[in-house]
Amino acid sequence: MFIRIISLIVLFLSYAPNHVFGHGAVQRASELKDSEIRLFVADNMNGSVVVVDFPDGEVTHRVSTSPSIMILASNKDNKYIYAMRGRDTDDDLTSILSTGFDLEEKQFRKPHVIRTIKTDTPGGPRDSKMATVGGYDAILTEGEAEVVVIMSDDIDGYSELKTKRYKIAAPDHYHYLEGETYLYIGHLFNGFVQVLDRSTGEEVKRIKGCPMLHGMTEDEESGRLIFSCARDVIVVGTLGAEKAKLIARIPYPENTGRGCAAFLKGEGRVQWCYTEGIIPRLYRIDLSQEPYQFTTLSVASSIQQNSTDDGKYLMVLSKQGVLYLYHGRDGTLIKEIKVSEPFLGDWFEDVGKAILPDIESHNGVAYITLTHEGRIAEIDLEQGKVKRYIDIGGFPTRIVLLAKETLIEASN
Amino acid sequence: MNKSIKILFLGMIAVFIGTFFQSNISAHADHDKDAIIIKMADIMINLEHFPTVDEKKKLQSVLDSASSTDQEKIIANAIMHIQHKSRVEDQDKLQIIIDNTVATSTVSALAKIVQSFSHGISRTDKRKLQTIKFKG
Repeated sequence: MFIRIISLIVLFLSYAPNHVFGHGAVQRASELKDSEIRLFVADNMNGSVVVVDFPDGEVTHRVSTSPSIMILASNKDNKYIYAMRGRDTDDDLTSILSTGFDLEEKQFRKPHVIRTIKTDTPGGPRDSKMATVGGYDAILTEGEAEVVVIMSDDIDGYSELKTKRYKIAAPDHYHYLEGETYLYIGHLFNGFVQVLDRSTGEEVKRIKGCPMLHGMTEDEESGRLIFSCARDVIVVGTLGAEKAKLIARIPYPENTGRGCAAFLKGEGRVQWCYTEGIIPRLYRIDLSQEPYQFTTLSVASSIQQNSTDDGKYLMVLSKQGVLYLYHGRDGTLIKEIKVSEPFLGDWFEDVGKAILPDIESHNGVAYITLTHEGRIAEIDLEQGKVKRYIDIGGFPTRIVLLAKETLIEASN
Repeated sequence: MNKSIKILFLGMIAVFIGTFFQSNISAHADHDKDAIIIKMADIMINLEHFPTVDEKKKLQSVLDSASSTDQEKIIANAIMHIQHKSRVEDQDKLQIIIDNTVATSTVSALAKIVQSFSHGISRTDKRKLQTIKFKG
């Protein structure tokens, strides 16, 4: 009898703690995800950033940001994604998101909004990369005419955001790149390139005579910058004796309409450029050949273009939903891939919000946001076929692509 | 006095012409939005069987507006008279629009959707209408 009572007490004691102790320990589950590619996609139905991880092709997260995203860009070390609002709202905000990449574990975690800051008509990124000043992220505020440099190495939600500000000549739409020691700021309506000294913020000079300046690129080998004007492009040096000097003017080919609004890097030192909106042609320039000159590549009425990161392919998406692959050096047509239904009607993107599809690629695979179909096409460029579609819903537009191998290489 | 008025008049014309061309050359200008097509797409997205009184008022404003095109008026009239389906006479007029416009235009797309309407909107057509509304 005594043994039975003792046994019952022991049994009760061993059982009881599980029920009487509130907030007992739980097993922690790892959030790490071993993805090769992470896409950040601006969905402008409601202003969220949709995260898609590959090779699974799984929509892993939807991060709510302010509506009407115009620009989506990663920062220099790929720790952050900046989502900048367009102008169809009266509240100009920029949301800073974590990419979720864990450098120690070399895997991805859940991304989240770190903080959202007021920025008067924000701009500055180029090729989905943030503008920089001396290695720090910078936002060009087109309303206040300032370069706002975010001096904090780590951005969090509660610390003071340290900034340094450079005054720009005038409120305008800017095209910006950083040179060796100077900052080069193209002004669209004012039609000049303002050159600022990075260390002092003082104006060095203005390179005038570039009306409707809209678009720019750089030739890394020569350090020269190219700014698009209404009837030609101007070439500006940034190194040595060429620094802040006008080197050349290159006229657009005759009778071909508007100029270059954006540049794509092809193979070697070839660059492709094009206007805004639906375009019937691209211009080609080989920056290894002086005197510089443009030639023309006619394309099917195109809604979006990009080149692969190695410059091997020039990718041209037509309004009919066909992806044309051209050789990135000479523009020879290689293949055509049907990716979607046609894009109905006019697709004029103004500064309200992003509406156009986007193309990004890595290691021979391209990702295209099919805005009109609410999904992403994943395309094997070598095989010339669509691998699969990933339903996003909404209206997916801008893409930022982060590849794990690139992130690891950059951190070493 | 007359000379001042003349100078003022010429100045105003110059400003008018300058402003007109400025909007055409400015990059990132607010492009013309297809407001009437969007208005009708918005009605069609939620249309069930027939338009409501409020929707008919909106369609009537399209018919009354001097800025509406003939094609837009035909579409508005067809939507206004939908009773589970569009009328046969409207379907014929819509077919003329479809035949005479680029197949990938929003006018053609909207005409096709109105022409084939049957009690409600299909998922595919709803997506097309939402896209018209989204892109402006």
